[in-house]
Amino acid sequence: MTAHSTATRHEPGSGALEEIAYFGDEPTMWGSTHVPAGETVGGVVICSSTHAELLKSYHLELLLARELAARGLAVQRFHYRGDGNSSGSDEDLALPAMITGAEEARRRLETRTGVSPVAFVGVRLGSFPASRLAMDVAGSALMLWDPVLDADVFIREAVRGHAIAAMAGDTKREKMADLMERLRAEGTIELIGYQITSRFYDSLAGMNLADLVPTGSRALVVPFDKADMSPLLDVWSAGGVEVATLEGDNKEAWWLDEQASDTRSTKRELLVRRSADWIVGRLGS
Amino acid sequence: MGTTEPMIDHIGTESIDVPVFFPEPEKQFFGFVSMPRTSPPSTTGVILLSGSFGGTTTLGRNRMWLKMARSLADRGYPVLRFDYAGIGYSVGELVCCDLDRPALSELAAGFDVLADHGAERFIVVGTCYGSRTALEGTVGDPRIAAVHLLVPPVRDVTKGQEDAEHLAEYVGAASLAKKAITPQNLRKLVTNKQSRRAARRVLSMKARSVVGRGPRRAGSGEAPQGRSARDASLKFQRPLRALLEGGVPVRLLFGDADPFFTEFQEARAGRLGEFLDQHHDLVDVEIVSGKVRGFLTVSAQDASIRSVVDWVERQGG
Repeated sequence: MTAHSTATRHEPGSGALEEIAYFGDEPTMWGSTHVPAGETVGGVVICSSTHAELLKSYHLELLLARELAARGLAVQRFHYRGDGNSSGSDEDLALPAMITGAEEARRRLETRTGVSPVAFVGVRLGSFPASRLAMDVAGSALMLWDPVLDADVFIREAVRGHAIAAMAGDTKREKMADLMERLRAEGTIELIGYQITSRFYDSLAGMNLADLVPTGSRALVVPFDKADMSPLLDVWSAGGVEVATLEGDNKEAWWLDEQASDTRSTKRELLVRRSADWIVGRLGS
Repeated sequence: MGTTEPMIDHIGTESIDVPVFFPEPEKQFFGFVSMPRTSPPSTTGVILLSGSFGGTTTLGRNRMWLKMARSLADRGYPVLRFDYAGIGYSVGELVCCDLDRPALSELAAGFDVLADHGAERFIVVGTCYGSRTALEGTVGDPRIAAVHLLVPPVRDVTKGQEDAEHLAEYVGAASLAKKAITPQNLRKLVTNKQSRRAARRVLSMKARSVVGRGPRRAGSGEAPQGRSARDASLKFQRPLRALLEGGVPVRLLFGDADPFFTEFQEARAGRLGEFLDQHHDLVDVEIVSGKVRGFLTVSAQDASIRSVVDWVERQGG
C-alpha cells in the first residue's frame, strides 16, 4: 500500500512544520517529520514500542517531538511496518525489520531536512532499534524511556497482562505453556486482543539490550517504575558509554489500560521537558 | 466470542491511505482518508468514529479502525478516520468522551473532507462516544445513506459512572472481588486517589443493589422498575427516532455478553422498542456471541469489521 500525499501544518505553539507522510519501499511506513520554525541545530529519531505500548506512548512521543522542534531540533517519528498507521500485516513486524525501519526513518529525516540525526529516543521495545542507530553515530545522544532490557520479558509482560484480562473475564484464560504451544502450531496467538506472530516472538528470543553497546555515546535511561537498570548500566559503562539515569515517576501498566492514560498530566509534561532538556544539553556540549 | 469465519487478513492491498489536516485553512484536525486504488471510487463515503483509545483515535486495539477503513477502501469506498479534538495530532479542547458533547465539529468537517474525495452520500459508523456523535451529527442531513452503531450506550453515563454502574449492576460480588485483587488494581488502589474513589462508588452501589435500594442484583432477572431507570436516554432515542423517521437505515451490533446489550434489551421493552418495531424495515439489530465492547478479542474486532463491511455493502451501492 502506498500513499500519494503529504499532510502539512504549522504547529500552533512553536510554528514548527508538522509533515505527515508515508515513506520507504512498500509496504510503506507512516512518518511524522517535525521541522523547527527557525534554525535547525540537530536531528532526533524517535523509535516507538509496538502493539498496545505504541498506543500508550503515542501522545507522549508527540509531546516530546513538539518540544524538541520548538527548541530547534528536527524530529522524525514513525511506525514500524505491520504496526500502528504503517502499511503491512502482522507478519511484517519483527525486530530486524524494526531496526531496518528505524534506519529508513533516519534517512527520511536526512533527506527531508538535510540534517543528520545526532540523537535517538527509544521507548520500551523501541530501545533496541534506537540503540542500534546510536551505535553507528559516534558521540550521539541516546535517551531510553522505560527500556525493555530483555526482549523475552516484553512477551512475558504481555502474557501476564493477558492473564489479568482473563481474570476480569475479558479474554480467554490460557497458561503460558499452552499459549507457546499454540504459537508454534498456528504461527500466531492473541494477547489482550493483539496478534503476536511466531516471527515476531522468535525475533525477540534471547535479545538483550545490553549487547547493543553504543560506544562513545551519551545515554540517559529513564525507568518509569523503579525497574532495576543496573544490568544495562554496568555493561554500557564498561563499554565506553557515558550513561546516566533519570527517575521517570510515571508508572505505566504498559499492556493494559490504554484508555486510562492521562495525556495532559503535569507529570507527563514534566517528563517531556526534562527529557528535552537532557537531549538539548547533550547536543550543545 | 465464537466464530468459525476466517480472521480478516491481507487488508489494504487494494487501497491507499492519505493523511489529511482539516478543515482548511485552520487545519485543526488530523485524520486519514483510505482510498481505493482503483478509480473511480464509490460516491458513498464512510466515516469511522471510534471511542477513546490511548493517544490517538485513528487506530484502536490491534489497529481495528485502520483494518476496517482499509477493508472498506479495498471494496471501493473512501473512508475517513480521525483524531478527536485534543487527541493525537488534532488540536483544540479535549471533550472526548463526554456523551453530552459529541464531536459534531469534527464530523461536519469530516463530511467536507470526503466530499472533496468524491463522496456525495455518507455512511457513519460509531462506537461508544462515536455512536452518540454518529446519531446527533447525522440527523436531518439528506446526504446520510445509513448509520452503523457498534455497541452503543443507550443510557447517559459519564465515564466513571458508567464503569461503576456496570460493575455494580451486572457483576456479582465474587467476580467484583476477583477483579479487585489483580496486581494492577491493587496497585491503583494504593497509589491512586481516583481509583479509591471509584472503588468506593462501586462498593456503595453494590451494597445498595444487594439490599434492594439501588440497581437490581446481578443475575436476579428482575423486571425493570420504572421508565427513568430502564428506558433509553432521550439523547439516544430522539436522534435515532429522527433518523428512522427520515428513512435512514440503522444497524446496531452488540455482543450477547455486553452490559450495553442488557441495557438495550431493557430499553427495548419500553418506548425504544415501540419505535424500533414501527420502523422494523429500517432497523437491523445484530447480535454476536460474547463481548464486543472494548474490542478485547480479535474475534470481536473481526465481527465488528465484518458487520460494518456487510452493512456498507448493503446500503452503499
